[in-house]
Amino acid sequence: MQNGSDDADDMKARLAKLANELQTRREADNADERRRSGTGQPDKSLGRAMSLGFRVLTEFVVATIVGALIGWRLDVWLGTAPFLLILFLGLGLAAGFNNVYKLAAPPAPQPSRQGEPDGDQPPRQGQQARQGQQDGGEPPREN
Amino acid sequence: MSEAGAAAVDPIHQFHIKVLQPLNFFGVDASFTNSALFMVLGALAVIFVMLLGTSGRKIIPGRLQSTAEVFFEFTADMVRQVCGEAGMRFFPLVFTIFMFVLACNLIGLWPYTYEVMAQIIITAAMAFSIILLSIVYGIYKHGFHWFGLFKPSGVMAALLPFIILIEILSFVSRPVSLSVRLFANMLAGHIMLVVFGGFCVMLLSSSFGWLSPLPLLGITLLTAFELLVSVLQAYVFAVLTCVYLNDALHPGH
Amino acid sequence: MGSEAARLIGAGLAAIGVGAAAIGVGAIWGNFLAGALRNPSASDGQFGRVFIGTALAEGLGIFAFLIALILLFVAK
Repeated sequence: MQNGSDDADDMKARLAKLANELQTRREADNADERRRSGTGQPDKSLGRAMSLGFRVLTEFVVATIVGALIGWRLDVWLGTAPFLLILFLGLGLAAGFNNVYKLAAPPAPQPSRQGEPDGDQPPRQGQQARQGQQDGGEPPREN
Repeated sequence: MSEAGAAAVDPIHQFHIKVLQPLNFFGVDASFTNSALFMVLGALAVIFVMLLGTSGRKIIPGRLQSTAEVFFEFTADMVRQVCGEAGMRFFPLVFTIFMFVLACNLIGLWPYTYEVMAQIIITAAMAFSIILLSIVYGIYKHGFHWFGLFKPSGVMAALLPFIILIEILSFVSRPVSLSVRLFANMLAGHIMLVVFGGFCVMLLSSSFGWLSPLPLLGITLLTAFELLVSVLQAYVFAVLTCVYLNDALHPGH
Repeated sequence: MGSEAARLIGAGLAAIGVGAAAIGVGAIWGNFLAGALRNPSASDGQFGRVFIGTALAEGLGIFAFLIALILLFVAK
């Protein structure tokens, strides 16, 4: 049946053409997304993450050391043997963890301010609707 | 690290304070040192960029004016974002701190210069001044309500003394961590640069001279990394200044 | 054993804690990579948290290092 096979060939040709167009459209979309999320972002997000990490390290270690120093000097001043040192070392550790917690999960901003502190804070997951983009903090897209 | 022949490469020698002009101010040693010289150079660099950059006042800015505008806008945005519009009263201070730290860090990357921020006393002086300002301004503006900074809301009464003590310790650790962060980053970076340079020289004066391009490549990559770290640490210092001043403006909790 | 020898041995033992910090950091990054290979699109959002975890593990290693330093240079 000549017509049937012509129709079938037509169909196949159209299907192939549509598949091609779909493929090129998909690749363009992927390239777009890669470009939007990829250009320079690795460097920027790496620097941002490293600065955040170093901030956490400094604040944690310094809080503990400051606690230990205060405890040690109070011990020397008051003459109590190592008790105040241990107490303030523990308090310093708790203060260090407090600092890290405030860094990792910042409290909700006051209503009087526009946005949130930018920079050394990890992207907040869905606690507020954010218009702007942060590195990789976009809500997951449904495929 | 002294090898045969070559003198030991001392990475600390680059941080020695050399007195360039002895001065005595009523018994206080106020000599003009190499550190002071590079602080003056940093300040002059900032003044040069900002004054010359804003002297043209073209609608479509040239390169220098654009540079000055970018720095200004960036810092103003940062202050507004962190502290809100009320924080703009501290904008001159934050801008000065950011530009000064940035200029000193960048100048310190050149050979034969002195890195101003690699001395703990300088970073500590800045950090402690900022915290003192935030305390004084907080008490001036909010009275004893400012001490509510140390009492977070929604805490059981049994835990309250410990929580208040912990918050006070956190606050006391702020100036120390602010100064140590900048100081440690700059110190470590410059020590690494000198150590790698020492490797290069020692390899050249030994029988493995053909290996010496390797530390040279290391220095190149390290300088690129140090450039990133310099700018980043200046930015982090300025942002944290804004955050701590914001605690004085809006002692929320 | 004299106190000088005991101090030095103690400093060496305290420095083992720095290796423990290395194990901690390796655990964090290994788990991050395992998760990132399964869900690459979500990995960028958690990159900051990886560095927070790294900093905490490194901080405790720094304490071990500090104890070693105190034993070496401060204690008599």
